Amino acid sequence: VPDADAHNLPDDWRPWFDRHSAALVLFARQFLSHRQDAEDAVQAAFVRFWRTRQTARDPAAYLFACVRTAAVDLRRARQTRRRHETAAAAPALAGPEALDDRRRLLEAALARLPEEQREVVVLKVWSPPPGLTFAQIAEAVGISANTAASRYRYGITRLQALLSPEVTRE
Amino acid sequence: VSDPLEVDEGGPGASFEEELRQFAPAAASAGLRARVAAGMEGERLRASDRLLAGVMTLGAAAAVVIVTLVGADWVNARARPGVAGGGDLRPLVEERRALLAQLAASGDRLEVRGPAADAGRAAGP
Repeated sequence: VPDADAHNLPDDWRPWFDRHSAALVLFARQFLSHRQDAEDAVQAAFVRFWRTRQTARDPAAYLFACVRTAAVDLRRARQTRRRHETAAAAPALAGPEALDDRRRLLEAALARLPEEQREVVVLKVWSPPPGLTFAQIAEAVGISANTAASRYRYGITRLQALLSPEVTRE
Repeated sequence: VSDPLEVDEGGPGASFEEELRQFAPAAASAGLRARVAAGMEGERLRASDRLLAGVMTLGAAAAVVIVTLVGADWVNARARPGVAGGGDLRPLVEERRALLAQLAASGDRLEVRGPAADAGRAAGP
């Protein structure tokens, strides 16, 4: 049964899009290395989400689930064509210019996480404030909340290790 | 805390998570917003490489018609670097502003036909 939140979404999609779009593109890029492909997936997913949002139990989780499905489908379609192409260099994260080196290290470390950990970390850390709960992440990804929490902790620990001075000096 | 799985927030990893949050997801492009808007208005939802190829091969006049139908931002968003003939169509739109206004006001839906359109189809997925 859909909860009340699903029915209390405004009629205008723009505030929802503006609030979530950056996080949606970042999430899609965990499956699609090209920014343009990620935006293609977000476009298709957001329109689908908005038209079917009344059926969602949790709109935020459903929105990210729509993006995940679209991104995975598009990756499958693109795989043959893009196999030999290199990933686009467009940064996935933004931050103070003084921390540009750190940002690059972070993006590289993030790319080294297993996909199942990476997607949970991205949803937990970079979904719009206050951030998705593990229950919402579980719904978006199609796993249990305990598994989401577990993958997050493994992912964060691994990310921290990859960004430690000993590793980044290598 | 309503979610028992969240109880260890504030633990040893919390400062690292705060460090990660110094960074934010890079902003989505303005073109994406325009394309979503087009989708919401019931225009073509799926970005089509076939249409892009058609725009690039049919020439300026046909491009004006297509830009009128789907919106300049949408087409620009599809004009990827590396695609033959790809590029910014805004100058073209500016140049033909009067014609665009006229077409938009008429509400006409024009079809593009001919050998060049076949070339566009051949480039499809």
